[in-house]
Amino acid sequence: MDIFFQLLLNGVVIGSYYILIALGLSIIFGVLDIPHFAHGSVAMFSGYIAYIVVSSYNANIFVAIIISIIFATIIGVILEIVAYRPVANAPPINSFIIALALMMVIDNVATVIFGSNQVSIKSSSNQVFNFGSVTLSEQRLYLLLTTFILVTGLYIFMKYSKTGKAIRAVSQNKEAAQIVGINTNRISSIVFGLGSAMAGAAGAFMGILFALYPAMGGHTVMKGFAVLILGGLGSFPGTIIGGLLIGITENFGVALLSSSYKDLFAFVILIIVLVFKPSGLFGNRGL
Amino acid sequence: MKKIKIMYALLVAGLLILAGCSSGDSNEILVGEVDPLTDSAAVYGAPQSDALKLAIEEINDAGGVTVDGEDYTFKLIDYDDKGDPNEAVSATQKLIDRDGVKYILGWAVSASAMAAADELGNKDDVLMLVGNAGAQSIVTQGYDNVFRTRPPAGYTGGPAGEFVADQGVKKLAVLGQLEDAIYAEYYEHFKESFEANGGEIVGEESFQLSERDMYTQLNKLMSKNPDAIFVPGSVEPAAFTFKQLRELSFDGDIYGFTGGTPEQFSEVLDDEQMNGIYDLRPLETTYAAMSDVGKDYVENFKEKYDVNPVPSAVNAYDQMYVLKTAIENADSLEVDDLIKEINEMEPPKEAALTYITIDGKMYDPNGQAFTTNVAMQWEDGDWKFLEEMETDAEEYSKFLTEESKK
Amino acid sequence: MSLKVNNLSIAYKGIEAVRGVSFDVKEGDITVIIGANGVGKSSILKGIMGIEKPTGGEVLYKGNNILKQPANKRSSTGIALCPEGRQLFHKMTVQENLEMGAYARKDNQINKDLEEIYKKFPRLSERRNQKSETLSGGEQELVAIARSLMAKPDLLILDEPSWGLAPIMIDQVVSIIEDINKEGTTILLIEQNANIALKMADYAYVLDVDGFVLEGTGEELLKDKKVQEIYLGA
Repeated sequence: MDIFFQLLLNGVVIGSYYILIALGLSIIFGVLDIPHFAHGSVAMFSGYIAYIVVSSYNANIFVAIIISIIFATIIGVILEIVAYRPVANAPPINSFIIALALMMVIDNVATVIFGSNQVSIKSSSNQVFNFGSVTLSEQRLYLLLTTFILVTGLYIFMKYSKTGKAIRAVSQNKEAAQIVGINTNRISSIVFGLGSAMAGAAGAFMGILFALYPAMGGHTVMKGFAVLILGGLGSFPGTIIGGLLIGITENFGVALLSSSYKDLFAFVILIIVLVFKPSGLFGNRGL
Repeated sequence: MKKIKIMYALLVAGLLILAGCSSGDSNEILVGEVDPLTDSAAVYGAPQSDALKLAIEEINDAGGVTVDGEDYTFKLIDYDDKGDPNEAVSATQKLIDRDGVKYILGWAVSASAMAAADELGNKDDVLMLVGNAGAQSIVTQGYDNVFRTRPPAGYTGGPAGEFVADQGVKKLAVLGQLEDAIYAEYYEHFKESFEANGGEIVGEESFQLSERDMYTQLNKLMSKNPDAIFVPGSVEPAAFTFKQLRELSFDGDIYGFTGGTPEQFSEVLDDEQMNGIYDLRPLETTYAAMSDVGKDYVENFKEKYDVNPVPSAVNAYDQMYVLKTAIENADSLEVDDLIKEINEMEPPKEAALTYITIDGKMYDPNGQAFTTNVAMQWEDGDWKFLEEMETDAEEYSKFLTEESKK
Repeated sequence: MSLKVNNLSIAYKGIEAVRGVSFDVKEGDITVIIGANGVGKSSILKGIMGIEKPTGGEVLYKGNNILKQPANKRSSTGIALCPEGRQLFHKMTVQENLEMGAYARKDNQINKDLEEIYKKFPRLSERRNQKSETLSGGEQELVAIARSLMAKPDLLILDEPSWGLAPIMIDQVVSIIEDINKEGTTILLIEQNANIALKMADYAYVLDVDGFVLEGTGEELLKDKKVQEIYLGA
């Protein structure tokens, strides 16, 4: 049982990455009803930008994270205005198709610009911290901290700030929101900005801890949706629990069985939960 | 009027005859190549392709070959098998049926090479010279027309196992791409030899080519308190394994069989993190223990492509020189003549690698050539030659012959 | 004139729901539009508010054609809507709903006004921290009205406020609307329940599929034979 806590910690770390991806997806889907399939691709693309900046200018890990977040936010807002807003009042299938198309376009553009090789964001933050029999690398510690900060910040923002309340209002009743004076277009952009910022953080950490590759967008967003559905669509606490659950399950699953089936664990857990609670763990709670 | 017409007709006829005579095709020897040029195996296939092109360019620039008084240059026709055996077989058929090719080189991926060897093994009028693909069975099927420069993974595995035991390692953990034929074969011989020399394997875990997070497997292995860890696998997952071993504060020695260039590792790890890691492999390139010809090859490759050659790429380079030398020695383009010559010849003088000859010949009765096995260790941004690992090529050749009888 | 609607037309998927209606809402009045289900009453209001995009016409308010402004500008222009079916922020508390009503306001009287509203609607004061979806239909209507009042509108538009309410609640809602009007807010109201609507109305319009068929003061229409027959069930 020596390795139990290490495996648990690993699971929480990986779960944090899933939370970053899924939370952004959650607010976009929860507030705007848009299945933003290109979300993972935005993470990938901004991660690559961070990689280029870091390797060209020898910058450090924090610069990488911030650059990735900023770029992702910008890309997200642009996508909302240019691609999604025109079909906002059309039947939902239009947004669905636009989202899929965006994912393919961004992935292909990335392959053309960046090549098909994987890249890692190197950093000199290579310290290792030992707590008894448990080890945590500096980079993974930063992932935990970043997730904690972003999640807490988002929660406080959504609950207490005027814009946060406006976002919640839009997600609960878009028409009423307009009536009381909320600019729903501006809110859409802000939601995409917030969600994409989190994707940017996720992309940076994927590059820092592991590697970025142009095809990772699809894979990432699928895991993100799995977390969303598991936790209950549009539920903040659900997304967090769902992300952690999948991260931890994958780690223990690999330890007990084999790594060839790693991706299956997420979907097996998802199916098991849905059988007993079709709306997800925290379904119907809402933002 | 009539005179002019006749003159005109004669002029056109003359031009046509001249054109027919000077068609370049009759003085070109077609050489086929099947390699993964895209997809994940391209990390080994593309450099091999580059090495092959380099050899052809050098040969053509030096005047090509002369057969039966005629001068020839070589022309390459390459196909991308994407690391997939079905694509490889299809490419092979196209080369033989449609392009009329008699000699097919390249072959970075074992699965592709095995599938293609089954397709054209012992077929008339086609010769297969294999480079990087390491699976043992490529040369144990009894195909007369299949030859390989790179020794099977098992040939290096055995000596590597002994080497690790000699370093004083008593308890060894293993994490590798063990579901892949080439690494499985290496490990099979490694394990036998390591245990025969007094070592104990305390744990075995595997990863896939596309995996990046090896924490779980490493945690399991480290809980068994090994003295050292052995990592046979592709450079990409292996690099992350090394990085994560450092992150988990593993204090034992790290041995590998990965075939990666300094650049590939530097993408993922710091120099400091790489220092001290071993790579136990067949003598290939980028190492100080090579001959002058070998060193020239590396320099020329760097000059043409701006990057170090992946160590195993040299196998295709040498195969091209084998082909050229055999054609010259046999003074023939016929496959039967070439097969006879290749079975008897010594290693070509332009070969970049140094071969251990069997009975004075480059290839053993199975069609396999042998180089030495070496232990390399990372120091200051590059692999440094440590020592040769004791290897008995003849014994291994006999082992292959035994295997082919099964 | 407070609000002047000229030739307003609204169409859904090529089918005309509102065909060039024109009417006035006099400042300080309670103006009422009655008509059967589906004749386009709601559409008129949605068109005025900018929630639906009219296909023609203009709406003048304080001298400007407000159709040129986006829907979310109505609140700051002084027009508030109490929508059909309440349309509350169902997961927000009563208090949060009311606060949202004041979203477009930039002054610092909001908390004071909140307390005044609670005095006017004591039921809501008791439930101020409850999620609005847990309230009864009548209470939700009160929240909807209170929310629209939080915007301190000059013109309050109400869409079927009596819908689904018990008679006791209807009386309460009617008296609240009349109070609001006495305090100076202009009211535009559409109702299916012609009885209560006409009793409140200073001026009323009767809407049919082809447009307005009748108009007059509340009293006049109450006495009109056709109105009695069709809408008052006499």
